[in-house]
Amino acid sequence: MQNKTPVISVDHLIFRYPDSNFKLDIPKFEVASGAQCVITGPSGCGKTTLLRLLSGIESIQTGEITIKNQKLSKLPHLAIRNLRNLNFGFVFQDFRLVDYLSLRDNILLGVTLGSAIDRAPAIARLDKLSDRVGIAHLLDRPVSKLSRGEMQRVAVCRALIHNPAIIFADEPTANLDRKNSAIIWDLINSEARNNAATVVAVSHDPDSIDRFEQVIELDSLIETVAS
Amino acid sequence: MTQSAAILRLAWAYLASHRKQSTAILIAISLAVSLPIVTSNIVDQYLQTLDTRSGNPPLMLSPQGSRFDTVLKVQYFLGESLPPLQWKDAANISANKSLRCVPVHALHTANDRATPVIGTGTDYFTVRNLNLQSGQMFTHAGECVIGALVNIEKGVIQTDISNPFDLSAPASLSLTVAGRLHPSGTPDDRAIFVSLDTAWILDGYGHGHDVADQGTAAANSSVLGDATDGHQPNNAIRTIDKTNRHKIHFHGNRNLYPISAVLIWPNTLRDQIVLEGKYIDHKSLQILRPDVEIKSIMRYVFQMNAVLQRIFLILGTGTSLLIAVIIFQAINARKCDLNTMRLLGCSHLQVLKLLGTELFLLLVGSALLTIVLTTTLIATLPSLESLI
Repeated sequence: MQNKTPVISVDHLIFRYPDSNFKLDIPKFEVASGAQCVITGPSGCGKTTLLRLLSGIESIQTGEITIKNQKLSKLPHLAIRNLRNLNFGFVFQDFRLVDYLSLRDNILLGVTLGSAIDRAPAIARLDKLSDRVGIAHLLDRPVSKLSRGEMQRVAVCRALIHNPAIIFADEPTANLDRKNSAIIWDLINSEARNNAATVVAVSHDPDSIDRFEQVIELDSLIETVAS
Repeated sequence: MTQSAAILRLAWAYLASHRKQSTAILIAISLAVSLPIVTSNIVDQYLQTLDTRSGNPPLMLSPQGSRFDTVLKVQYFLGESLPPLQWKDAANISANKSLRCVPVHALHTANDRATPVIGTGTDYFTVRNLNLQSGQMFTHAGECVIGALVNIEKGVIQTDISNPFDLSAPASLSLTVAGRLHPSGTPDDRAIFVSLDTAWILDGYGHGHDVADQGTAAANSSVLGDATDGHQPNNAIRTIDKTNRHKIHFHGNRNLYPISAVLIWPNTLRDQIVLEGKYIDHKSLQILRPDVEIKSIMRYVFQMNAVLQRIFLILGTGTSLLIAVIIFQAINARKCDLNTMRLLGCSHLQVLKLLGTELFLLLVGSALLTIVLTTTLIATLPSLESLI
């Protein structure tokens, strides 16, 4: 896997939140194109922050992150936003669903309000994706009427709907039982494999960690190649 | 579904899920816009009504008193009845060959005081350029010609009792409708016209009864109280027709019968100036120029409208600020949703388009509501002249 071209590379990244003692200091790591990588570590060690830095949500202070051969620190804000919209799929820890919209509108939100995405393929994928996670019959319901588990599935569908090149998933199965958790991971892993997408996930769940070929233990930043 | 249609759908979803807030904004905008329009419309209608005959006729003879009230009553049939002048005064001025004079008796009403009953001569229709749409002109006492907008039931008009608390007051009369006038867009459209004889019967100076029915002597409070031949029959005729028309007769001195005013068209400007000079110091009568009085009234109405429009402007500004605060608060409350859109990399332009579409839908809704509200208010609110 390490022989493949890296799609993500981090080089001497240091990040601090203002008015906080928290410091994220990562000397170096790479994720190969098409790799399935999981970041683990104790609570508060900066897993979510790293994911936000990798996806360009947080701005780099020191060091560099290169995504698909583009240095994030050199890209203008608008370009990072477009990169995120076109190439990244993000499953947030707190779902970040718009509660007054239906499932359908939530899943297609990034596509509808994106600047360059062709909506037709995404709409065509909607039924298949929602069917796979068991929410096809709920598509026209407002999100506010869903259980947390169902919301999580909607969040996953939204991240996958536009066939992103990189999928960032911040504890996507935190609220699900083992069976549903497996469905979600299967979906993410298989969608990624089918589309040659790279997965960077954060997880605590030992069962799910086993699914990944690359595990990054953030606390010690000891990189382990599972297979 | 195109991207624009999808954005429209998202915008609608937001407004529909925040119904109370959206409805409040819709109503606030509609009221702020429609109230000045409705007020302007009512005032414009009133001014238009006033303008229809402000200089026609050029002069008017009336008893001394309020010029405004006289012009409103005689020209537009608005307001309460005024003290009348006597027929001899009208006859006196009508004898002047350099003047065209038309007497107007505007002391009675019908349809629960909603419709004026105007006593006049057939000359009135000539000088006012009024033509019959159907039927014929009144030729006998008890007949009437009605304006284009007057409602009738079974071809009969029942006049109002002039004073329901006065037992000696003459009872109401059923008027036979002889004809209906073409619409003229003037106050004549909502008036009932009768001959002066009919008007005086309504006053109580004339009546019809069987020869044997001499009834009682006229009460002191009645119009015939001073007449030597005055009496009040027990069963006076209330519907005059060809079988009883010959029984109609008058009591008292005809010269003293009342009329409201005389409309005057002098032949020349000189005749007008001479007439005005003649009455300039008259103790009981006055010559009015209706256009001068109407201009004064219109000036007041304009000023009143200007004040109202300023008040509405202030209210509108307040409402706009309030709406701006509501929209600002709504955007503030949606910070989380807007941030989600940012995190998903949504285009600034498309997000602005979404917010713009929501505003556009609100404005379209407000425009529709404004049209409905304005139309309904204009159709249902009483006209300004009906309040006078």
